[in-house]
Amino acid sequence: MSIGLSRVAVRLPNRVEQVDDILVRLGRRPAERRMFARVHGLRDSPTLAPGERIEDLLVEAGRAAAGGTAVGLVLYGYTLLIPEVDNRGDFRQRLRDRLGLPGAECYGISHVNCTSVLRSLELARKYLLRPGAAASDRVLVLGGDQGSATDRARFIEGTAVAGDAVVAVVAHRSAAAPGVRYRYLGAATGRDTRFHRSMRLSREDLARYGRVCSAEAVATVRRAVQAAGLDEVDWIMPHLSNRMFWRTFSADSGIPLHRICLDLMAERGHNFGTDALMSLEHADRDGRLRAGDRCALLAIGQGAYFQSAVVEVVEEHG
Amino acid sequence: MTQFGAAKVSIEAVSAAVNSDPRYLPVTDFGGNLPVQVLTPMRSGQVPPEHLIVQLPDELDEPGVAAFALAALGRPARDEPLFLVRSGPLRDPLTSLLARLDHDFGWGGSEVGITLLEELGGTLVFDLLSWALYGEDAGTVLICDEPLYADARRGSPRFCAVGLRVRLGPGPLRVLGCGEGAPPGSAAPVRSVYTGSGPCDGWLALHAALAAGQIRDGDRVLLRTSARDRGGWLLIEAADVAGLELAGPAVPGG
Repeated sequence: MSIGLSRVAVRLPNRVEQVDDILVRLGRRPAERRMFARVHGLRDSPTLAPGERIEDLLVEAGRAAAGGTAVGLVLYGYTLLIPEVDNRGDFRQRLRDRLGLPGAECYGISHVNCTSVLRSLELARKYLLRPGAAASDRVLVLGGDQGSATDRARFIEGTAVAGDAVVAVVAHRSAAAPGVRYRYLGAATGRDTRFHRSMRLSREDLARYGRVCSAEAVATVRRAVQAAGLDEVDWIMPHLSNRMFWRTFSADSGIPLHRICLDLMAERGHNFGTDALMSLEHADRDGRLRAGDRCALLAIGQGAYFQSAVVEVVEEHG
Repeated sequence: MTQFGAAKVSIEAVSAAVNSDPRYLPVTDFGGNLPVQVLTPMRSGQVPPEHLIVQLPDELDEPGVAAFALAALGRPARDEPLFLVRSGPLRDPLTSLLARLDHDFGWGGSEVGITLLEELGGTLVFDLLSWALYGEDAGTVLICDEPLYADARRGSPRFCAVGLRVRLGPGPLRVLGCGEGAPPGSAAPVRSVYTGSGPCDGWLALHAALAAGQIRDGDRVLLRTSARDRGGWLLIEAADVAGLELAGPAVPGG
């Protein structure tokens, strides 16, 4: 039985910082800055303006996705553990109250870094398909981080600069339910925990990680496609770390680069666990997706974790 | 609030690890190198700066009490999911503790962190387990509390972790229900109530009572967490104490 997903609600802050400005602040060398711009294809990074808060964006996106319908479970997938201090106290209850869901179960899904949002979809599937679940059960999945909390936390050595953005999607027990735009067909998880030192990897380990990352990403997507009962997909909705990674992925997988939706690389770049869902929303809003199209979403997390989910575009009812 | 009609989740093994003397320093000792995680309590005035003590950064690169609790529990016979329930930020947020545990223990199942429950994690996580375990034989839960900062007037906190091996269906300790706020009245009497302000406190007290032979089959015990203006509860019934595996408490460095 396949669960269904609503369209993705995306909320961005009102400010954008240039990736190069952030790299200058971090004291990165000119050669590295040129690589980020020309090879990685990174230009802008969404950044909260003074007075804006990531919590407000989460609430806006969540309310937009839920559309006033009842939700029994809220899963918030996030990467950065530093802002947990900001989220202490009444954050969980405040989030539920502001979403208009004061009685919903609510959990942070974390410690698997940028795979946390797609992992939340898999947990939502478990919840919706549990014995005794009601046909009307729904799960609100939120994702997003404040990369701009510190420049150190938003900079991934040699790889990406991360920004502030959030996504929200509602998971339904049935793919035929009103408001469903995607049928969730299957998922797969990969990992290579030799790289558990994450942001503290040595240069040697960082180089080693770079060499194995694409292969594990390809393998994880293939397992997800198999889990979905398919041989191939029409689109890849990527983790937007950098353009160079996807050239390698394309060569390793045989999936043409033009089937990988990289449109947002320059203007949004990497925004932690939100990238793949944000790419899906962009491609759909852009009119590129048709009913029946199958899309493999991929997220890659430090540690290292890989998560891929396969969805099929369906005609919306209701 | 959830009361499980028939016990959905049971506990087969309990382990505990405590570090009673973690290294904290007065905030003034950090000079200009204050960990970014402490800026919020500093600014908010939650604790007056002269009384704020801060956890020493993870200079020793040790996985901490969670690893001790997991080691005491031992590797499962079959691959199963690992749920890391932490009350707050990592000692070193630039590394991946869960991946480190996975790597060091050769974990074969999946793993995920469950957060935002803070002090209530030791009780409310059973709501999540009641559905997240479907499709699995069993699971391992690590509840970990390593406060980042504290008010020196209340003494230095301890680091603690509790490991639980859980499964759906019957087992030595049956979870009858859990929830937020005050527990509902129960027709059956509760033998003991174990209360604390941290996510592990009730569990550590229950661990000690089990080790001392104070819990017998048929006893009902209530774990309560009371922190600030919030509370959580977990109602457990002992069904086969002799069949329960009890490990620890491990004392890192002790």
